[in-house]
Amino acid sequence: MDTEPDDLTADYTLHGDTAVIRIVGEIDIASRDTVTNAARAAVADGASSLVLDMSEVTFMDSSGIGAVITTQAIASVMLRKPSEVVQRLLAVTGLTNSFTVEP
Amino acid sequence: MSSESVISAGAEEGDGSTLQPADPSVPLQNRKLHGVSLIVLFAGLVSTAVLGLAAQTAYKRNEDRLLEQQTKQAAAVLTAALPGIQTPLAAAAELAEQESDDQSAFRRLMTPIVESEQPFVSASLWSVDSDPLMPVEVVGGEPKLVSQPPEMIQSLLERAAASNGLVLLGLLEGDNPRMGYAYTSSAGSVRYVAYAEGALPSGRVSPPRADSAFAGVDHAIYLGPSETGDTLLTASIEELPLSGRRAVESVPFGDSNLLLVMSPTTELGGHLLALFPLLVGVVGALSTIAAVTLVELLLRRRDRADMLAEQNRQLYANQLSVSRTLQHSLLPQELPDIPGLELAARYVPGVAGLDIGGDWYDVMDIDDQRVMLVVGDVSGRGLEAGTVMAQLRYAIRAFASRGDDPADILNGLTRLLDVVHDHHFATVLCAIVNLDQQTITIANAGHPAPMLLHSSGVSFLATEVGPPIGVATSCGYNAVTHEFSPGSSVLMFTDGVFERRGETVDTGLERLRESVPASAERLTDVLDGVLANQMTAESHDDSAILGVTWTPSPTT
Repeated sequence: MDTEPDDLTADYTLHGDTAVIRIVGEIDIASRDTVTNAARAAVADGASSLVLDMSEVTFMDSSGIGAVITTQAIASVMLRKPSEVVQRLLAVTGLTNSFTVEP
Repeated sequence: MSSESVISAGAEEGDGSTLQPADPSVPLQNRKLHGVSLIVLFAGLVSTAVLGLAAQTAYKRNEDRLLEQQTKQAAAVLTAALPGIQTPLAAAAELAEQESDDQSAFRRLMTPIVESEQPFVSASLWSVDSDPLMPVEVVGGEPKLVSQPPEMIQSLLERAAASNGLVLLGLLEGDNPRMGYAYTSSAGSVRYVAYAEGALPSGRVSPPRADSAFAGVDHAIYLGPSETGDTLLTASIEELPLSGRRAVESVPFGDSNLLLVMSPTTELGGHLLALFPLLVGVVGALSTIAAVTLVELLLRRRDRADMLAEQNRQLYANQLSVSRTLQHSLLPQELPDIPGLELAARYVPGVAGLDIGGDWYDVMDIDDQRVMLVVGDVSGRGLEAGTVMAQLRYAIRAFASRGDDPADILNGLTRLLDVVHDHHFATVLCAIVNLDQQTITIANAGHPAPMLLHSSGVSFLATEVGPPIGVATSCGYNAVTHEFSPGSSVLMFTDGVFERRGETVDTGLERLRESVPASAERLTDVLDGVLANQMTAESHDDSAILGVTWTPSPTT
């Protein structure tokens, strides 16, 4: 919105009907659409469930949380290896139990 | 004992009733030129005029110089003609002095010259003291001198005898005008004067030969110093004296002078050079017109852009005003007046856009003992977010009025919102202050925890955070009860108050905690202090903050 979200990439790979979206960088108000767009593209590509690989998310704010929540409205979502910052924000916003984290 | 509902700075800007977008169908402006265009026009015309004048001056100087050169050449030609006249006469005069008895030699010398009529048509030999005044010898036609008055003849002969060079008689009028030349020997006592007459062109007008020094110019040759009709010897045209650009040269000729006057009939430097000033003028004028047109075009385009920008600004201000008004209407117009409590709230719209934000706050006195305080934040912006916000706000009021505690209220809300269908979710902090028990019970749906201000400092009140309303959850919300005693304050706020880009949530919250003024008399001062410390120019999100202070009252 404010600047180009060039500090975030969200690329997906399909494994059957599951798409793994690898999110690298910072999720904030400028980059949140990149995440939801990747989720929509993966679903359009045939995915029925999403795995958000968040091991390389270096920063996230409430806008980023909004983006992750929004992906739940697109397909069933599972988180993979949420980084420290992600885990902290999930805790602050009471979402720790709302997302399934991959075992 | 006071209550306040404040829509803070920025909410009131732009009065929608007075702002009307400019009508695009109205002509942009009248057709007058811009000042800058006029300056360009003026500068262009002045430059063109200066250049044109310079070109004209250069052209004139060149023409003058060329004419002067040609006149000097023509003068040289005239000077060169002098020997052709002088030499035969000098020879004849010498011969006459030596052969004074037999002047047949004079005849033999002059006959071929006279027969060729160049330069003489008549030659005669005169005795200085002849009486009557008649020539001793004549070759060719009779000299016109013979028919002149005797005094004139006498005068000429005396002048010739006194001179030792060519003597000019001047013009001899008649059917065929002639010029008279006299010459005497330079040695010893003079007895004879050799005299000859040359023919002048009939009417004294003779067009010059194309290849001569007189080509391309009109000329007139006068005998003596002045341009008078009776001293004119020959000219190329009849309209005299010559006018326009002219050059004058005096050529010594015998004991007199010839005055040569020349005037060009055409451009000596060529036609292109003559057209140069005109070309400069035309090109300059065209360039000026082009420059003025371009400048005017750019200026009008800029005006149009300015006008559109102004229209957009007004439209934006209008829309912003509508949004703010709607937002204002969705927030409490004033907070309830509750004995023992001081309540205050602030709402600051973010700069992100003109849409309605999803932040809200609310205060409701449930009964004599219980007061509910709510702060919430619906995700997204716009009318839809505003609608969800209003829906949640009144649902909470409804649940509270039937006696639900904060946890029940949030649990009740989960049925109202589902992000999968509604595309919005909301964080809600719901607190109920119990004045009898001196407690505050808080339930939290994904919202930043409230802050407690009391004598020992500022701290966050622990809450059991559940997911935001709208996000599916299997377990319900649970409330946490804290002691809330007179003299303490609780601040509830939305994330816009503390979030900054690139900063983790913990950093922002800690900064917020430290920004609370250490000592403030009134709650409003605390809120203003927090906002002043927290808000930056780039605060893109809306910010809402609600505070409650239990005032230590002597009456309770």
